[in-house]
Amino acid sequence: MTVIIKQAPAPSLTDVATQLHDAFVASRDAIESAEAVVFIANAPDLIGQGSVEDAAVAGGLLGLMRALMFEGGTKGWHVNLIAVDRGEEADPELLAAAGAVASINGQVLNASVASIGKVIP
Amino acid sequence: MTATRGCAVVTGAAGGLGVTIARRLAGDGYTVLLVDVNPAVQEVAASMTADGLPAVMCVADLSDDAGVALVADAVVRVGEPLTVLVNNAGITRDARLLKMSDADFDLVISVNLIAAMRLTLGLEDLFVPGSSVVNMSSRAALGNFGQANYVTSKSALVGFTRALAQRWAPRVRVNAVAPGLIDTPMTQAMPSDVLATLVAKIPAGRIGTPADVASAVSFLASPDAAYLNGQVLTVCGGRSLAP
Repeated sequence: MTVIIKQAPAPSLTDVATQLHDAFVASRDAIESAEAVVFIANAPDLIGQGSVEDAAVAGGLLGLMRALMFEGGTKGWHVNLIAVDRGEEADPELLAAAGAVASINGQVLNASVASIGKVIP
Repeated sequence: MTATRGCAVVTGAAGGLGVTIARRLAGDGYTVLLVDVNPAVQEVAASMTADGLPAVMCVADLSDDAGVALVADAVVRVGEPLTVLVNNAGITRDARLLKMSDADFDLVISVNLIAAMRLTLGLEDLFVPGSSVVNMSSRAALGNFGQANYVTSKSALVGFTRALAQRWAPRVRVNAVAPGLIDTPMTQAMPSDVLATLVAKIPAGRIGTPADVASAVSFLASPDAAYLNGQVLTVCGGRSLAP
């Protein structure tokens, strides 16, 4: 089973802290239950094209995914992040692959057309 | 002791890295406002002043708006335009993921990320055109063991940097420095064999120094970096590329 953690709008600094807290708790619980974790973030926010609050959340989710991979990649933890255009949903096939294909792990899966030519961290 | 480049605010200025950055910026010609929640920052300011470096200090807790107001008031009292902000304050509360408490996650996010965002946004009206913000991220933003909280905070700080750079351009530049393994009290406390193993993985063949980081901060703060905006300068001796 795959736990999906999706970025939501963060209008305030409190919302930034709350979203990152909730993502941490949800991912920790998922790992403890041996479930895969797929984060979904807005590519424009990863690039920094939106609000500073939304960019912080997107960057934080990216960092959390990488931290989980760094710690658990050799223990069988399975985590990825899908970057989508704002308002878009992650493609179901990509989502399924992100949560199940062993060789796709710890990656940023960029499904954003608008980010072509831009730097994703 | 004549400052010509305006006021530079450095947070976390009571710590080793903060002190080195503050001294470097003072040497560059800024009047440095040292900010820290630790009252020991008074001794740092006194030491710099004794050495002929222009420095004043402000003890402030940046976990709420009152702390930001204290810093803003201190900047006004300096009597020079605010031209540089270095968000250097940071903490670690390391633990493996399954043993990391909610409180330790939240605290690191609050200090390393939210406080930096709150201060930066709170000082917006004080920055003059041509100013520079330098956020202290970390090479660990790319991933690190037992640091889910720290990595999240430092990666989020990169996001903040990139977005604010676009929002405030062209008036204020916003960049980040991402240090790798640096010779600080934290690394000095590591077992020597562990430290040696880590250093062996650094292509530069040595651990970084606080001065290495301060040089990067000095550059990004300066007019020499006038065309750099929204970037992360990784100061890691090549470690972020090596196996």
